[in-house]
Amino acid sequence: MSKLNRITSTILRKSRILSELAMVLRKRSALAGLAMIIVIGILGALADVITEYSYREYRLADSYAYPEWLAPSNTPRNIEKIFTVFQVDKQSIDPGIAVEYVSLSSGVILRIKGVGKAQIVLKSKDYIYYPYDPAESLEIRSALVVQNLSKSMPWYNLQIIIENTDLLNRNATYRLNLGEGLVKYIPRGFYIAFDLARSQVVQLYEYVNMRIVPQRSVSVVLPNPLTNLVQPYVDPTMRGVIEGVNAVKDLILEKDTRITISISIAYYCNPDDILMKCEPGSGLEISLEPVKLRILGKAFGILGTNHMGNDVWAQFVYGARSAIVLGVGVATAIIVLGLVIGLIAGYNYGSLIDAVITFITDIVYFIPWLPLVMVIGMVYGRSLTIIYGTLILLSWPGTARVIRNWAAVLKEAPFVEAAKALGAGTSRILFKHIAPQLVPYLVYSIVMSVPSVIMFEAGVQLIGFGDPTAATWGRMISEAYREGGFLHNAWWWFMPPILGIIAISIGFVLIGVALDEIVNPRLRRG
Amino acid sequence: MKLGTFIAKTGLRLIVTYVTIIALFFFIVRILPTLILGPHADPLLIALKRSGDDPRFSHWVEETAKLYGYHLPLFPHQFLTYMSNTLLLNFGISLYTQKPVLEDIALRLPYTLSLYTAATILPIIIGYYLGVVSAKHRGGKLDSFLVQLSIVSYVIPAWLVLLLIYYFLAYLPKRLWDTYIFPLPTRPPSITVLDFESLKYLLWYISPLIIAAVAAWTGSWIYFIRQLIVSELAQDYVVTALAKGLTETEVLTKHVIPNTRPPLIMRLAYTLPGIFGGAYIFELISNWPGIAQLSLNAFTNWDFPLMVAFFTISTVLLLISLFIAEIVIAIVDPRVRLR
Repeated sequence: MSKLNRITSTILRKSRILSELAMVLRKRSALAGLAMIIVIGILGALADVITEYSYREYRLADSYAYPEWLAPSNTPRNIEKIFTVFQVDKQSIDPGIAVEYVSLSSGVILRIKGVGKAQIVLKSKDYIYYPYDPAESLEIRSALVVQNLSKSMPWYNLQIIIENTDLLNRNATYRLNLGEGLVKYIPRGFYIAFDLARSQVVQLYEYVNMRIVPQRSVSVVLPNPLTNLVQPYVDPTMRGVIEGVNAVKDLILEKDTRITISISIAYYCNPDDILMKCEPGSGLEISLEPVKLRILGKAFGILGTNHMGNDVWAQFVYGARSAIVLGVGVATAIIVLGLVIGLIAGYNYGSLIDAVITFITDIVYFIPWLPLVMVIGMVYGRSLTIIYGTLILLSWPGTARVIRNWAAVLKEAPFVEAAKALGAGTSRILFKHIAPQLVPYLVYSIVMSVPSVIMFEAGVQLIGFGDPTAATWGRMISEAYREGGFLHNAWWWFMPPILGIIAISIGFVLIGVALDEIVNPRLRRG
Repeated sequence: MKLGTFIAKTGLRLIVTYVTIIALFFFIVRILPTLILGPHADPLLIALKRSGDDPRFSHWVEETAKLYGYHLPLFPHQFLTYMSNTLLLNFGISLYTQKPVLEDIALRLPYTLSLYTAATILPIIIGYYLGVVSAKHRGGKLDSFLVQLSIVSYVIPAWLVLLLIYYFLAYLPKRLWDTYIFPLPTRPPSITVLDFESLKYLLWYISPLIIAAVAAWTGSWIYFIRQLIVSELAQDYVVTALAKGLTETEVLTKHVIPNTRPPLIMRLAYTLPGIFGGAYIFELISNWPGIAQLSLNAFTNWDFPLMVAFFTISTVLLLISLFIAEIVIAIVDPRVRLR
């Protein structure tokens, strides 16, 4: 019978607290706040379903690509094509050389053997029909394996060339104004995107045993001055990349033209050359996987891309998840830590334990948190765990003070005396009898500290000590500010997280303000 | 308790706090890394190693190692040297400027303090005025508007407002019409030259910061002061005053507002730490030539003396503002001294 009584009384007490908390929902502002949080929560919960790409994946489209639904139809979109079948287009082979050529579905294999010179150009029959305004960057990707057929090593080179057949037929040129009346005409429709010799000048003269290039993945992004050093014409004044010319936009692409890929292979073996170390029996086997060509569009996804070509929508949605989960989780951790410390201090009110805890509370309260976060970031690294751990360890004093004063009052209450008389232990009294009385206040403090937790992370990101890999709104905002999102007016990149961070904070504060009106009378009564 | 005794007691308490925080810093930065991550993680060691190879810094390396007693054992000797140095504000030479750290900080401190003071005081003045207005018209449309406004501005941190100001009033007009209302935060005002032109530029440069601070920090003051006055207006003495024929304005100015002063100052004291942090992010966003930039460089370049100095100076500023606040409270509200 007494057990039943106890259970019913517990249920009653719990339901009383719950119903009190539920009273919040009668206020319209609290409902609005709850709605905002629920929308963000649903976004975060469905993050895996509603995003197509990972937030870490970069170069999904060009940098600063517009949102898809906003861009006009002429704006370049992503185009992707794998060029598999290649045919011999041109060749000039010395009589001493034997060439075997196989084109498979898995790529191209070319075996060249003998002494002399050979130049072979392979061309794909496939093409991309390009229907947009010229895009500004593209990417080619393939894998190359070159094997020596003997111990010695002939000289060879392999180039991957992007050709625009229509522009080539038209003999189109690009007019480059160099200033002071100097004008240069650059041929269009032809660009050497990858040149093995240029990227491997040092290795060419090294003596290597069987394999020269063991499985080398070729990935070139244009325009990229580090990898695209070769221009298809010789000009002593302008070797390498020309300033003011975007190879993709100005030389390769044009609306309503066809783009294809060709591969040029050069071979040279001269046994008389000591430096070269080529013997009569030597030869090469070159195998190249299908070449994947991606033209990176200027319009992408729901919210476009950032400076690295990451999907902003994915970042935003995962940021919503981390804002809700980490915001509420860390706020709860702070309040619970404050509760435990405050309870212990308050229950031992006036004793030595209380004095020590109060002293520690004061110290922690007055530690300047910013320099500390920076030092910890430098010494221990900049992960989310460390940043939030520091935050939790620095922010409990506020709650602990309030709880201490409360517990000091409550420990004199009759129900605590009764529990003591029944033989309850200290921890039981603290957490089963006193703590439940504080639930409304605790809920209120958790709700009110969520915004500051989220803003703290964003602030730490802004001073450059945030986790550089985290999917948080703070990182999006700070990256947009530092990496030129403001300069490029890429509002789709930084406005969603700014609005999101404001919405979630206002949502929690609206609920908190409504809770305040319920919590405070209780506080006064206590 | 007499005021003098109170001041002495508060001062003593804050000095103890100061000493403890400084000791804690040594523990977190020097002892804990060597215990957790191994001896190579000691920041002073990293600082000395990084600059040891560079002959330009050999003098610095020697001086710093000597100042921090680097060749002695970490715990009692180095700790005591560090404590005595830090308490006497003897930080040594900064790595990058090769000047005494205090000189570097003193050069930039006026900029930080002017920003800090303006960004603290203006919101209070405006918030106080609007809070009184709001309380006077409580229940009216203006009141509910001000309350809602204050909730919004309570939530949005100042740096976010600053970012929005920079975007809408500097970057966007610059891009669309090649003109701007506020300067882009790329060319900070000079800290060495002070003529009329640079002063004008400085004022122009600081204005978005002040506007952001006012927009972000006024709200909570409006709300706080409104609640304070409204709860004070429910007191019996207000009814008495009204009954004896005073107008509501007279009651407010003569009776209610003086009574709101102690909690106001108390709150001010406890918001100072937060404002200091907020102003720090401000300075970094806007490239303001205050100590934030200096300390960021110090931290990222392992300029150990400057790191220590920055931490110490922040603590000192914080505790001094607290000290002043507590004494002012004790003068305004003598009950405090009895606690």
